[in-house]
Amino acid sequence: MASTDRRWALVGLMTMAAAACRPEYQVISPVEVDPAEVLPCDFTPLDAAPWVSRYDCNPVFATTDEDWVSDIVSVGFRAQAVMGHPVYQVWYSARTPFTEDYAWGIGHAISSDGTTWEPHPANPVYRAGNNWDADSADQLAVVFDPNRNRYVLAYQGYRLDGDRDFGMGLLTSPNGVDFSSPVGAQPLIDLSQSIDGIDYCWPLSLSYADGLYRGWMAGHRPGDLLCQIYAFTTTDPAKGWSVDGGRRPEVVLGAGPQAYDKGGMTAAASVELDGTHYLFYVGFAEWEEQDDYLFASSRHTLSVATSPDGRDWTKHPSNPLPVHLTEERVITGVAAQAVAGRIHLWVTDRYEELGSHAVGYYLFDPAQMP
Amino acid sequence: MADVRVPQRPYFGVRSIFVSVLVGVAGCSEPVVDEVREACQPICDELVEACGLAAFPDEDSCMGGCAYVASQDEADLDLYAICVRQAECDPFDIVECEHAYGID
Repeated sequence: MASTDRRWALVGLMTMAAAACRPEYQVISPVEVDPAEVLPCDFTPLDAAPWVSRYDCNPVFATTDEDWVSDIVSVGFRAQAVMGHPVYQVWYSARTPFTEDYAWGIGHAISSDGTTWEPHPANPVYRAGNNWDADSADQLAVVFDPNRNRYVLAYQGYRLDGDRDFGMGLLTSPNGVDFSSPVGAQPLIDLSQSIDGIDYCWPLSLSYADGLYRGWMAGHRPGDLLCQIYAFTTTDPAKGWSVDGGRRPEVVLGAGPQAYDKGGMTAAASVELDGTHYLFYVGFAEWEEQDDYLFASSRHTLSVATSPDGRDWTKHPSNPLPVHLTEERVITGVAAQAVAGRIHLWVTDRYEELGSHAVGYYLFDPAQMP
Repeated sequence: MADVRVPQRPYFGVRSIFVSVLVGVAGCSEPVVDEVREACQPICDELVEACGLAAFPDEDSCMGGCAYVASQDEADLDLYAICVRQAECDPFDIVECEHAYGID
């Protein structure tokens, strides 16, 4: 009996010894760190949409208390894996108190837990000039291009006096700090005039995957006021964009007919996870008259559309996602990124307790989405 | 005799397993696990112990992530370790080490 036990034990031990000889690092997977493990607060699934979890200590980013910042206009988030663990980077455009010198700048901050931010000592890492974008920069979107080892930052800029310039600007940087425009003192895309029969409302987002940049724009045909989503692709944003397949611009995601995005879209962010593309977007329900000449989009909510190929999109029937914090529904921005099997969302919304807009952190679990 | 040996089984089982695994690792023709551990340890010591980056729940988690990075061709852990040490816990510089010598 004892001899039989020993034989089995020997077989087992030989098996384990053989297993120990395998290069175990070849069969392991990327680490999947639950952000709740490293954050001071938990994430709570939303009752009406349990596939979305809200960070219990939102907002995670409001301001940085830097002298050069008067107020923050727009925020571009991204998560950077360091040894497989997300470290968070943010770039933000802010109006400055030094309007005689420069009206706005771009700041950079970093956080190893996504909630406590360290501004870069060289801030502002970019200062506005006296060019087409002298008055403001918003709709920031930042990607990292590992093939060219550079950050690419896209934004909407404008100047209100003179010719009233309006366009999409592009800045690149080898390190996230030293930014310059690859096209000089001009917009990458001049949005103040029609392009191929489309009047563009505003840039929505910039994404990058496998050597291909995709730019997302909201635009409308003359005569309608539906700011619907158009997509463009390029291998190098500074060398021009093209519509997929060389066709004329076509709407890739239309406004309505549902009430929540009947007016169109004001912000978007796309990610790909496990073969499915997700487009998170801020849709708005209607235009609101501000005065005789100015209309503004109103009633903004966050929604999601999915696609098997990044071209043909289907809005999810559960839209809009119930993340808006106020009855007025004033979400202004969204950023998204897939890290270690999860989709991280950063949603800019109004926080009544702060009396201002700030950024909240959410996790999106597609596996639980109906 | 059998009655005497029975109480020894747990001891035999536990201790021998550890000894066998260690012998097995030492006996491998390509001690890749040890190589990875050797390359990752200084990086994770710096990131987790010295810098206390909140991104890492613990050093084991860092070692797990590092082992995966080591399995990718584009990574250079020796230069990564030098870069991280020179970063002196500056998170901005640490991120650039990942870009330069990691996989993202």
